[in-house]
Amino acid sequence: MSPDASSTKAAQGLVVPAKWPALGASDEAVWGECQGSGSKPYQTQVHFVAGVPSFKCSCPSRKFPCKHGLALLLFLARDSSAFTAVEPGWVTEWLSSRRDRAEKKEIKAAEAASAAPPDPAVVLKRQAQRLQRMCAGARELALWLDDLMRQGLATLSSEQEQNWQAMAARMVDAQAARLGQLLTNAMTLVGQGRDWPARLLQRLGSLQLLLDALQRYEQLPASMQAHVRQALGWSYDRDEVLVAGERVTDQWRVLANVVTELENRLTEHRVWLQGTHTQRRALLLDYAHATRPVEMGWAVGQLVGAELAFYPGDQALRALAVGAVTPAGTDDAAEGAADVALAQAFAATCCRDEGQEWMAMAKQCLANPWLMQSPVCFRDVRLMHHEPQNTEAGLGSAAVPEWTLHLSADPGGQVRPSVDLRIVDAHAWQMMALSGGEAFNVFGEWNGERLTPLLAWNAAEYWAATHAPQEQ
Amino acid sequence: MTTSTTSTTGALDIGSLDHWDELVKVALVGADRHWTLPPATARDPIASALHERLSAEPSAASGQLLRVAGALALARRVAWLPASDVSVPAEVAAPESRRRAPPAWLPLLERVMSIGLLRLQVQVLREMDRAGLHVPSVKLPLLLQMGAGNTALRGEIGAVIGERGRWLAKCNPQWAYAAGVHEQADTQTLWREGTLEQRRQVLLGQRATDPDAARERLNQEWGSLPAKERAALIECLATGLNPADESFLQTQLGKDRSQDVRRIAAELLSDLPGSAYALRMVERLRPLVGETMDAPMQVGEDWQADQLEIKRPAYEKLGDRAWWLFQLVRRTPLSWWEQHTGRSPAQILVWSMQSDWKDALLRAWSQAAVRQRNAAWCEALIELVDQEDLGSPQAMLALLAPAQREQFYERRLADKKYLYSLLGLILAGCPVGQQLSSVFSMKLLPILRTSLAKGNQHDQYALREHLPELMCVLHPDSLRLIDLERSLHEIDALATCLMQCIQVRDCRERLAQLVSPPLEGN
Repeated sequence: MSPDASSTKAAQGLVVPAKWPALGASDEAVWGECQGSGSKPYQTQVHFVAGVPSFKCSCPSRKFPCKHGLALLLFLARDSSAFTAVEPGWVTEWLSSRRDRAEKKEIKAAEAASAAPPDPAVVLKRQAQRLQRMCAGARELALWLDDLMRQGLATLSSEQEQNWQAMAARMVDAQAARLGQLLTNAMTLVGQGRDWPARLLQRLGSLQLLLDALQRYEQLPASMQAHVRQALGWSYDRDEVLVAGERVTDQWRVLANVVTELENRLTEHRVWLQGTHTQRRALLLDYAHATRPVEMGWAVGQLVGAELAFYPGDQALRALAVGAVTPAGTDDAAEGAADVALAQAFAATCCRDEGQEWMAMAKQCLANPWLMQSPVCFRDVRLMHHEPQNTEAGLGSAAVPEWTLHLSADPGGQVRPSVDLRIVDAHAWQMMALSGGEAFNVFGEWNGERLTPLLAWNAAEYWAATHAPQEQ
Repeated sequence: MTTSTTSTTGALDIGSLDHWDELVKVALVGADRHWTLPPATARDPIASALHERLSAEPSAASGQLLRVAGALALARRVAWLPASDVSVPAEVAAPESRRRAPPAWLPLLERVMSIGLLRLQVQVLREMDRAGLHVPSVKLPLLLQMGAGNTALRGEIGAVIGERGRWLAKCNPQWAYAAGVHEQADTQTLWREGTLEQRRQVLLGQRATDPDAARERLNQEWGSLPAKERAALIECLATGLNPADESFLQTQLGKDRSQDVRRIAAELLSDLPGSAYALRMVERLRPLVGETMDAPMQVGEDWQADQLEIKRPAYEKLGDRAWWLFQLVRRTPLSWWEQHTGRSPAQILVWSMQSDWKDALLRAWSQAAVRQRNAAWCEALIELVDQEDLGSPQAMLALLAPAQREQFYERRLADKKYLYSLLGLILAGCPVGQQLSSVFSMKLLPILRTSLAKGNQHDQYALREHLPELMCVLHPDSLRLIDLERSLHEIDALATCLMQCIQVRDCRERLAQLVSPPLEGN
């Protein structure tokens, strides 16, 4: 629950009765007044709904939940007898307002369910308007890019950052912020590593194709339209997905559950699933701002029964969970055997051979030309470590990669296909420890150049990443 | 980024993928200049498609270059297959001989590592070792990294990392300390090519099992080593010191150019009662010890060769003759005193009290007792050391048997004014890995309780510094007898310290649970 380790430590320091002049608890809530550095104590309260806590505190901290909330719960766990105070007004007020809001939400949901679907004409008109604006922005960007290409990439330098930041800002105005982001991401490559022109050309080429696609949006097949929309960051409503998306019900094995930190205090939560019967792979993607906790659950290795609605588009990966999710408890074996059982379970999910994985990846890229990350799974790989060298190329992919995977070789061959990894040292050494020099299996995300491992296992144990680096 | 130009279908020839580099060059130079794609072969569908597009809309049109680049890049990504690399058969970790630690150990291990108290870490790792367990592989990098930063933990870490851990340590030069130097090949390479620290470890390790071979190894290299390394390595001979080392040490004492080396050689020789060096010291001392103690009137010619400091430092309280006596006595084997006078250390001390030279004698004997690790003399001296202010008794306390140590502490318990020094002594005297006896812990408790309940600022300072570590050392039966929670309620100033103490107590109790034999099979 804690946002980070320092919060936990700070909270533990607050579990001191001297700091809490008032403490109280009821069936559904816990509250207290905490003496901070100011003259007036902070009012902290926690509301439990079906075991899930919600926090509210009057302190100015921006972290969520703040250390006062954590401390309150720690205190409760340690010594519930101290919680004797009568429910004060500010608690009653908050609880009742929450109840009101919950009621209103239910009423609204009921209304929405029973109400007529929104007038399709209105929806279409709104969409057309947005499309127009985005096309206008895209035309401007296309001209700018053309100008750039006429001068040539050699004229670029990282000092021109203001130019493309300005262009990115104009894209935000045109409701196409993602285009601006793709531009600025691409431009960070300038000067990085010896082959930066090639990598930049690749990105800009992809961007050009997106701009082209946007201009011809109406003529595109529906599936491609869906991919263009997602590439533009034009998000789908949950309802749109539920209506239009493909439904798949299966027992899903959770292969990865990672958090990535983005700019502006946004966190991205990625959960990769693979259906044990359908062998479909799915990505649950959630975003949270610092003030809202990210949804928990989906423990790596767990088998979960669920119906997923995939987002529109051929070879779609992103999906939503529809309705309730039931963890299948059948493989929560005894404590000691859990790891081994999970390792065997993982083995069952990744049963394609290497060639099939590349083929699947190729199909996904063809269906969605702007796909950033493909899920891939390789068996019998070996982890290789190269001592880091200082090449004159400096940063960037031109430097000798430190960690690579050797994929399974042709039998009798001394030569193995080699894949570069994008991984932090700490994780890499854990994978190395897991492997013991022998072959193991890995699942991760492939971005066209490097693999980011998210899960590794062999017959006896497994390793799962909890954080993933930001995609660039 | 390399691409395989063999397509998956085999019938096509996608040579156009190799035109990428050409396109990059065009992009660098700028699309203003006329550019075109190389001609396409008939069987290359991608090139044909691109050429078709370019003929429909010329290359000078807006965005054409990027369009073509985008399409080609996509084709390359779709066709991408990994490049080949020569595969060197890697060394594989040996199978584990120990049992893997059950998952219940992991949270305890993490918690103990984050609390950061060395004694607690050592205790948990040793218990893990004693239970014949090895750490699961995902925790190995964390543990090895801790040992890289902290030499004090290395022994314990080495015991629980298992074969996988030793294999892993070989892969990362930072963790080489844990790689194990038992195999012949490894030792040789480390000795020949390793850093000074690694070579020290090789020598120390070998001294434990085969001291003569270790000395020989050092001897062979001796001539080529610089002074600093000679000094560092000759110190290793302190491990497994035996009479066979004498001739090597004597040679270095006489010949070596470095002052440090000669000094260390002299110190080591004085630790060998049967050596010629020791005999020389005895001979110098013998005439001075009779009914009463006498001090040397002058310095002998061979004194300097034996590394005795003739010149008294300016700040020294002792006079010249006392200083020379001090030099002699501290290098003489203590056992000689008992042989010569026929008395026990305690009696000798009593006798020395009447002498004019008692200051020099006491100082010398204190140093010798610690250096020569002589528990009997330490026991006799310990009271005097404190009374006569001969320095801190901490080193001696560590050499005493636990029972004697605790007797010393008990005599101090009444003196509650200096809680800080009392607790400090208790901790310093208790070597890492040992604990206080149940009886003594019980005697210590009232003092701790009083200082928690009514302590002034000095006491609180003492507690803040020492209480968490003390919690590591108290006997398990006493752990729950201090009401830490209540103190936490009452004393704001010690909040963090008490929280840490509670954590230590919880960890120790958890450890006891994990280690005690389970009711059903594990």
